[in-house]
Amino acid sequence: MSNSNAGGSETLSSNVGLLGVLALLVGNAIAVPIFVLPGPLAGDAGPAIVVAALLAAIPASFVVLYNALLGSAMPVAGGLYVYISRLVAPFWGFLVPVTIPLVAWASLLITATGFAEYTQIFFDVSPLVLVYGLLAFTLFINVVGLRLVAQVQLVFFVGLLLALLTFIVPGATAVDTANYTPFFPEYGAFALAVVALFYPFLGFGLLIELGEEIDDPKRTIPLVLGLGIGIVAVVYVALIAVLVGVVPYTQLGGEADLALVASVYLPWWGEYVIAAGAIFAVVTTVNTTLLVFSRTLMRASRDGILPESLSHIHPRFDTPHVSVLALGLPPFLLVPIAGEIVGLSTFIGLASLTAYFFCAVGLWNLPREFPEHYANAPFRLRRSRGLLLAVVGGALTTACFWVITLLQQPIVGLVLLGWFVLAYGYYQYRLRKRDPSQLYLTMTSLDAHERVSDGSAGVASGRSHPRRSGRASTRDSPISAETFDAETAATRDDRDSVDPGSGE
Amino acid sequence: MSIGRFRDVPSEMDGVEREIAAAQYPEGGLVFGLASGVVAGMLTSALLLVTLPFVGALAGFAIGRQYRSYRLRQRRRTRESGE
Repeated sequence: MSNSNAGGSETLSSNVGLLGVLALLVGNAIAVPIFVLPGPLAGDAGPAIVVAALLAAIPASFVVLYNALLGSAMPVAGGLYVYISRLVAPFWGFLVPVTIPLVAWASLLITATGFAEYTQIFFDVSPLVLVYGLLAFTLFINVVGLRLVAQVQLVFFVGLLLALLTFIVPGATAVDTANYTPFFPEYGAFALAVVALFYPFLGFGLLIELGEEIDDPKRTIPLVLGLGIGIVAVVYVALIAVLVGVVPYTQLGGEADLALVASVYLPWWGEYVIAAGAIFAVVTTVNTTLLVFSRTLMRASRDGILPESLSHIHPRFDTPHVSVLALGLPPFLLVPIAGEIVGLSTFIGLASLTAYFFCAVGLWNLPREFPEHYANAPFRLRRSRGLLLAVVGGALTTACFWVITLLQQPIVGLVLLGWFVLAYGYYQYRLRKRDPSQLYLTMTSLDAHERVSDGSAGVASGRSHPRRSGRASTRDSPISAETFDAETAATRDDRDSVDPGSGE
Repeated sequence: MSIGRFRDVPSEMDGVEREIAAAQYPEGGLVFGLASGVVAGMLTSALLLVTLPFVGALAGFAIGRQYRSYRLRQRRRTRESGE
């Protein structure tokens, strides 16, 4: 559930080298949240959010690793939904497209709030007008399918980077170390800051889109993982260290604090440069935000677990307009909670990491469920070592996030779980409207074009699963329930007689 | 998710098994148990807010498995009596 702006993926050549992947990932990861979140978080957690940003990089590293492994082994449309439903269980996969709207709404509200706060530095306009204006603009360009051309996107991104450098480099000389004490004014707020600061790292989700397009993935992916996370973490930590080092943390707490702090040590134009950087970040984010999220809804809709209308393509604009409207309209009603930046970020962080936890379980299952895909992956880990570490690490960090959230903002955890409960009811409702047996098959199989096509790989040629006969071939191909029944009817009685506990 | 001797490989399931598997009772039970644990923890104490969701999730998953087994036996009985 990333807020990744994958617009760039459409302009990729067939092979993207190390620098190209690195630039795309870092560019995608440095976005609006880093302009908006530090102020409110620092106001509560104090200088300790510098450490919080470092700690948030740990689960982010796991996420990048999952994306890299799954993206290279099973490049599919629908991302996490497909991975989790096919590799873990259909319901856990179903939670992805069902929860994505909440994440998209929260993400849009944060972006709109950030836009309003920083735009007010230039113009004296009501923040509500700006928030509604940005929501409408985002909805419009995503429905119509307008996109900034790559060059314009690049110009905005360079402007964003210049703004950040303008803040960090001179700011480093203006730091007063006395402002770093007390370093941990409140441990609870610090822990919550770790969860909230995970959100800005989610831009790394783009790696899942690149998958098979990466040049020399065996070498490139591990390097990009280390370098990318390192660069982004350094930028975040440096930015936050300046923020809490220039003024006492008690003076912080607003969404546009970066501009406020810049005005302390930069000439009159300083805060305008920072504000312009934030607005550049907004523009590059809203460009394709809803379209990226809508891909997952479309895939789930095609599977039949969500209404068919969500996969409709507009005849004129060639966009999934119903999905985009479902993602873009509700935030207009949710504007009253747009100021709850920390709560919204915590929600996004928790929901995303929970999805990635299931992704980790799926990754563990991948060599067993789709051995040919894993064998063909250009970048792999040993199941008993690296893979195990990645899964256990992901599980532990997810558990920590849940504990922190439940202790510090239980309402956020409750809202997410309440949504999951409602989702289960809706899942049952959808089952009743379809043939459950066929739906189960669809949600546990890959589409034909997603199978390993090399005849020697075994899937297309129907090679059996190494442990259980027929498994690999059927998991990889969507065969109808009738075919399955015909295939199994002859042996059903025998099987039931030798497997009396099959209902167990 | 491995679901024990209940075959989780679609090709090895018959129509009834797939229909019951599609309902995802253990997964639903886990979610209900987790949510119940959080609510119970919120109404009691912070310490229980950490432990009760975990206990609730385990209990919910176990109940879901039992219910799935029950539904499968029930469906098989119905099918056999129909034949």
